[in-house]
Parts: sequence; structure tokens; C-alpha cells
Amino acid sequence: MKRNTGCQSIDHALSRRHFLAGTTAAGFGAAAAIGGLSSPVVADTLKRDHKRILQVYLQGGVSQLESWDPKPGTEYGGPFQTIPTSVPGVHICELLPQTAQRMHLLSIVRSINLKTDDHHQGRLFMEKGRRGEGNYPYVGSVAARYLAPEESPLPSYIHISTRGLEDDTAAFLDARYGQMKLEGIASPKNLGKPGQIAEKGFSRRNNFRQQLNQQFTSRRPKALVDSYDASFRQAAQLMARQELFEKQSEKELDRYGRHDFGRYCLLARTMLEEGSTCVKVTHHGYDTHAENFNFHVEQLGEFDTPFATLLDDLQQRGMLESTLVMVYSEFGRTPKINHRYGRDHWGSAWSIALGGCGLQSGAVIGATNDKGTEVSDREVHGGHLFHTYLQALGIDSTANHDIAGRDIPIGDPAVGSIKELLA
Amino acid sequence: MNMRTRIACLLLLTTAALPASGEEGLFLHQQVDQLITSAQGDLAHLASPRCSDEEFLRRIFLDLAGRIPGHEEAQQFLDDENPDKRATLADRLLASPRHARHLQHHLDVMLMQRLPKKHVDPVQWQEYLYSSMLENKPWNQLAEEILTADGADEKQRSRARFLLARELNFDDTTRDIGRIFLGRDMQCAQCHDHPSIEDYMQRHYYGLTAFLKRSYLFKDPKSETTSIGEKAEGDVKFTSVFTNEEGSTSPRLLNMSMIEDPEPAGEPYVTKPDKDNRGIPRYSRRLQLAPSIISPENVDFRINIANRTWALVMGRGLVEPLDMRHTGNPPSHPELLQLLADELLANGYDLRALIRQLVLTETYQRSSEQVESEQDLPDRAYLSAELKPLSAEQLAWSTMQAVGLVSASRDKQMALLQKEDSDFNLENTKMRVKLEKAVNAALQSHVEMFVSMFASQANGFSATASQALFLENSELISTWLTPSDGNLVERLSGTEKLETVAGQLYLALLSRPPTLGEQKNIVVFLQQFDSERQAGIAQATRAILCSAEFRFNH
Repeated sequence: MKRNTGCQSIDHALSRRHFLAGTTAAGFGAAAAIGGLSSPVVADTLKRDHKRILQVYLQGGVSQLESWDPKPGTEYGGPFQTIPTSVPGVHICELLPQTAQRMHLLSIVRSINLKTDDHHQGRLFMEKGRRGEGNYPYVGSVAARYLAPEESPLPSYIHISTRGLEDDTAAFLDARYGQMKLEGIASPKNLGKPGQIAEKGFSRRNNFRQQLNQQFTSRRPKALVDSYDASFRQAAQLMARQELFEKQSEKELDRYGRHDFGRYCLLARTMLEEGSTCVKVTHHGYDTHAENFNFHVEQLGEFDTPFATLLDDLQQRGMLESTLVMVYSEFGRTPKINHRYGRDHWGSAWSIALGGCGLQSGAVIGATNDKGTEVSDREVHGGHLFHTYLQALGIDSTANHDIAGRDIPIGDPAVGSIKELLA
Repeated sequence: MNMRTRIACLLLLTTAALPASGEEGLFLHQQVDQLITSAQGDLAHLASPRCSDEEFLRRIFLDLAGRIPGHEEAQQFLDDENPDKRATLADRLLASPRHARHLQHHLDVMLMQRLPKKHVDPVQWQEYLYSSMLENKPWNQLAEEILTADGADEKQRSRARFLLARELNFDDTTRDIGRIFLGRDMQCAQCHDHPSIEDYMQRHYYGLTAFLKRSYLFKDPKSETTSIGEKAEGDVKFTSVFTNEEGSTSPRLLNMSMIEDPEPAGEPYVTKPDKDNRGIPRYSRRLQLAPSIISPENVDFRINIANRTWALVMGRGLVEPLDMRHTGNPPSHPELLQLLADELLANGYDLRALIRQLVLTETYQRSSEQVESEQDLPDRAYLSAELKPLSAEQLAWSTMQAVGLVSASRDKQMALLQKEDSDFNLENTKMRVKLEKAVNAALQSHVEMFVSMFASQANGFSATASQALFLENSELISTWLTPSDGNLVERLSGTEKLETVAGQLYLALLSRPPTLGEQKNIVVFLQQFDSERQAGIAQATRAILCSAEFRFNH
């Protein structure tokens, strides 16, 4: 079912001028720190070929007016100004100065209309590319299913967050493609004693368990037992890599920031480097029904540097050309400002930013009207975006999942990708 | 052709050796087997043979008591030479308080889908389900109680959890009533007639919503408890997002006739709604819901519970998914489903009686080992028994049973009860229930730990690295594998012969003796640990607890 689109090398397509523009002002500290790493620019072929996703989920619904689609000086524009970005002619909100300088690595879609203002429904639509509760896998699970190496060294889909909500992301796909939730940078629970995996008792037990399973499956359906087995293989791999968790390099934290989101972004980089196929980082707290502006100063102030640093690192490592970057929410926020200086839920005219693997960079797709109250050009919804993500990754989203002989369309057959965004 | 003649035809076609009395003399379980076998057609010769006593023993304990048998229970059954011992065991388990507990777990998940605590304490709700199952309350009565409850009467508050935990949110509640009580997920019909499912119309969805729409959550200012009040007016209108066509509806269950309000006469309220008082109208639309749902005229109600009960026992529904019955997704065995539904109507919705008939079928008692494992055989043909992943509760109780924790707790609680009451004995049903409750309460926190790890919303089986890490490394299970209180590891540590240890391990954990090859493997495994015998036994136990044979009901 795969379609060989090949990844377009965004990094190579950059002019030196753009690159410099992207690293001035903010770039000094960052560039110095990167210089300290061992051969950061040369990535091995394996890493380049393994396509992956970095999802940065701004939970609660970031305001498009305070981020990707500002309307300063208009009725609902709010108090902030716009700033120019590294892409001539493209302006974003002044709350994102670092990101603005890396705009040439990203594109913006400004014309999303989900027709829902419900957190849960919006999130499902953005993740599954289909409206409602239907039993479909999240984009991260679909990517894991088709892109993760057979013996994925880490769980193929990792979600770094602080809240306990467990999503059933795999749906009808095998549970091994489901999301593994990490509570911040803490080790997964029950990781065992360090070095335990090398102990004789443990390896004997593990071999014995496998022997038992072989006998059990000799004349029984293998699929269920295989997926049970896979969960133990992943557990063993995590146990063998305990050093990935908890302790983070001070030097790197100087660059990323020592607050939670900075630490999560650094862990996300590690997980992507170590071979996870989809890494989702959730930045909580954008549901700003009151004090929208103060909260966005705080939230985006926390978001901007770690995100920009992570983009730099992916690019420096040559990973950006194989990593799809998504910065998204479940919806945006109302143009209308309520009496508590808040903005409410707004699914009908909002924006996300995308970049990396297989995507056009520096583009702006679609538009909202002058006041930002409705989409005026190139309206899209979660279904179009879902096709676009997957096609950027080289997955033919118009093909079917083959589930026990039943064909299930990967993307919603009623819509297609945003073609002009695919490089 | 009606059901009777149809069955008669099947009998003529499929088997020569039938009881002379014909279909009139057939038990339900025999009729079920007839229908399943006849639908297998050419594949019938690939049906697995009847399962061994060992397979049956583990399966029937898990399906009826929600846990594996203890080693003594296992030995006793395997040694029993009575040819009717399977039916005898099934009847003993069906009558045990553990069966009520197992059904409580099942119904709780089915009705509440692990929703968090809200307004009503889940523990009280679970007690309500448990006592309902102990008295074998008919399903239609249980459904009526749940759908009628308003939470105002303190004594009957627990049963209002179904509506109150959903905060009477009209969309969630309408959808869940459709899915859980009718087997029909009409969600898409909320915004427009379902695009791909012809039977699900917007008016069906809103007809169901109309029963609830006048009701609201009322928080009593004095007691601060929340219950359901209702207004005497308010209509449901809907607009299609596709066509902008408008419709309006009074309460109406699917295609049954609309229930019009009675002509208004005088004061519409028993209690007028205001901020201090819960509104109680003279005529309640909400109270029309339960009678409409359980009415014999509403075939969906019995088809749904027949399908769900079949799925509980057999591991897959005759309609899959369980909540997607519509003309585009017909049952695999339509006559069988109708037969089971009719049986429930005739027996007064006695779920236990239906479960009993189902576990007596040959279909249920097939081996899970396939005759032909190379060929891909259709699951819907019931040629071999399904592998059923243990529910979180089954896994918790089975693990605790296997390591000896359940027996230890039982002895302890028994001693306490005897101290309290010198006449305490287990011949008495009430006292058996008392003991079961005490053991359940003592071990409840462990069960909740397993639920937090293993509960999943997914339809199918899911296994994650977090769960594997829990089974492999958690302190909780490590503690259970430390010798104490006559638990499994302590009991076996004193056994000299490794072959005997192997036999006991298999019996306690897998409810069967090992084959010679398996016995040899265990002996070799234990020998690696030399003098650290206890560590070896603990490791072997943990390996088996992590094996697929333990994880699945097979």
C-alpha cells in the first residue's frame, strides 16, 4: 500500500540566507550549544529513512489570534502586535519570537473548520481524521503501524504528558501501536531494578515464558498471543534503557529550559533519536475562558524557546527531513472576547503549524476574513489534515487497512489531502 | 416458515440420531448446537473435538465464577468420575455468590464503562448490582429500575448512577441507552440521518432524547445532593446539518408509535420546580422511557441482551460490534439470535438460566485447539472455542487465586466470622454470601490496582508495555511470591521432588497437570537455581503468570 513519494529535503532547499535569518538573534546561544555535540550534522542513513512524527499538542485550544493568525488593530484582535518571520511576508504573533525565526521550517494552515466546539470531539477529529467517536486509530498509531521498524527499540508511539487520560489510540490496529503514556520525564512505572535484565534469574524466566507461549500457540490463533508477546519485548527494551529517563543533561536543559515543557521537549528529542516513530508532547493549559491574554503570554512564553530549540536540534541532526512536525490543538478560540477577558471554544476558523518531512515549508494555506470570524479561503477540516500528514510520511492515505480480511479506508474517502502543502 | 418448523427441517437435514420426541423434546442448548452445526455446512468436519476436562474446568470457573479454580477444587473435579460432572459443576458455580460477583463486574463495565465517580458512590452502585444478581433479578426489571431512578430517594439512590454519572447529558445518555439497551449506536443520527446506515434516522435519535429532554439535574440547597427533576413542558426539535430540514418529535422508541402527552387538565405539577424544590410533573415523559424500552413490542431490547449474553459466554457476539446492529450488519446466525431472544422473553429475562443453557452446549465445550491450523477458518463459524482475554477483574482474582492469596484471605475471614458467630457454617446460603463479601472487601484494593492497569475501552484485546512491566516487576506481585501464610511459594518450597513441584505449579496456575515434556522443562528450569529453590519457584510462578495460557480464557 505504500506510495514512494520520497522525502523532500527541506533543509537542502533552504537558501543560506534563510538559514542565517533563522539563527541570528535567538540563535547564538543555541548554535554554541549544538557545536558542543558530537557530529550533530551527519545522521546515519537508518535514521534518515525511518520517517517519524513529532506532535506538539497545545491542550485546551491555543488562540489562533495570539499565534498563527493574528489580526492586530481589528475589533477582536486583542492587545498584541505581529512580528515578521524568517519567511518574507509572513507575520505571526509577537508572543512567538523564536518560532518566528524558524518559520522557514514550517507552514501554517489558517483555514480549519471542524464544526465542533467540544474538546473531546475536536481532539478526536484532529487525531483520527474522522468526525465523532468511531473506532478509528489516531494518526500516531497509523504511523506506528506502517512506519515503525519490525522490532521497534522503544514503544513506537510515546506520549509525554502529565495527566492521566488514557486514549484508545490504536482502535482496530494492534495494541502495540497504541500510545504509551509517560508521566513527564519519570521512568515508566515498574521498570524494575537497574541491571535486572542482565541477571540470570530474569533472563531464565523470560526464556521460560517464551517457551510456554510457543507450546500454547502451536494450534491456536497466533494474533492475540503475538500482540501479548510484543508487549513483553517492549517492556524488556525499556528495562534495558533505563538511563533514558529521569536524569537530563544540565547543558541541554540550559538550552531547553528547566520547566516541565522544556524537559518534555528534550525527552521527546531523545525518544525520536532512539527510534520511536511518533512522539507526542502535550503542553497543558490553553483553555483560556478567562484572562486569555495573560495566559497566552505565560503559555506561549513557555512554549516558544523549547519548541524552537527542538526544531533546531532536529534540523542539525538531519532528522527534520524525515520528521513530520505538528503543532496543533483540538480547536482555536473565539474571536469575540468575553466579559472575563477570555476567549471561548472555537472550532470554525482556526490554525495549526506543520513542517518537516515531505511538506512544503514557509507556506501559508488558506485564510480567515478580516475579523477572523470565518474561513474565507481554502476551508479544510481534520479529514484533509489527516490525509496530508500521512501522505507527507509516504503513506498512501487513500489505501485501505487490511484488518482480518476487512478493508477499512485509512483516511476518510470523502476528502483528500491538501495537495499544495505536499512538497 | 416459523421457528419450530425451521428447527424441524434442520433436524431432518443434519442429524439422523435424534430423540424420537423431535424438536419439542429438545433443550435450548441442543437447539443452539443444531443451528451452529448446520450453519457450518462444509466446514463442520473441521470443528474441534469436545474439550478435555481440564480445559472445561478452567473455562467454566472463569466464565461463571470470574476466577480460575483453586488447586483443591481442580483436583476434586479432575478425579470425579461422575459422567454428569460438567453440568453438576456448572450448577454449583451458578448458585455460588462468586457468580453474582462476576456478573456484577460484567454489568458494571457494560453499563458504566468505567466512568468516574459522580453524584453516586460507585461502591454502592456495585453493591446494588451484586445484590440484584444474588437474587437473580430479571434483566427487564433491572433495566426498568436503572432507567426510572431519579436519585431522590436515599434508599434507592445507588441505582441512579447510570443517569447521574452521565450528568443527564442528553447526547451521552441518549447514545448510551441506544448502545447498551438496544444494541444500536445512533450517534451519527444526532446531526443527520446516518449516511451509511439506513435504519438510523435522526427522528429515532431525537425520539429517544425526547424522553429525557424535560428532565434536569437538581441540586438540593440543604442536603447538597443532586437528583433528577423534570419540567412539564418543552419539545424536541432537530435540524439536519445536511438538508436543513426540520423535524420535531415527542418521545418515541425507534419505530414504535409516538407517545403523545395527555391533554392538559388543571395544575401540571405535583411539585413546582424552583430553586428549593425538585420539579415533579403530573405527567412525566422520562417515566415513559423504561416501560417503552422493556415492552415486548420493542424487539430490540431482547435481541440486544441475547446477543450480549451470548458474547459474554462465547467470546464474540452474533452481531459484532455489539452495539452496531442494523440491516447492513446482520447477525451471523439470525435464527439463533431470535431463538435466544424469544427464550429470554419466555423465561422472564432470567439471564442465569440462559447462561446455563449456553455453557451446556457442545459449541461452548469445543476445544480451543484447532483441528486445522494452517487454513484461515472463519471465526463466525464457532469451529473451536475463542481465546477470551481475561477481564481486569478476572485477571486480578485469578492471579490472587493462583498465588494462594484468596485461600489465605478466605481462611482468615472465616475465622473472624466464626469468632463472631459460633454457628457460622457454609451450608447456609446467607453465610456463604457473608463470607464472599468479606473476602471481596479484603482484596478489593488489589482488584482496583489491576483495573487501573488492565481496563481498556478497546473492543478487542490490547496489551501494552506498561502492563507487561506491571506483571514482571511490580512490588505487589513480588510480595505475593514471597513465602507466607501457606501461600503457593511457601507450600511448594518444602516439597522435595521437583517433579511434584512441577505438577503442583501447573495445577495451581493452569488448572491441569503438565505433559511429560512440560514437566521436564520445569524441572530443568528449577535445577538452574540449585539451592535457591524458593527463588526458582517464585521465578517459575511469575513466568507462568506472564504466559499467554494464563492471560487468556481458552
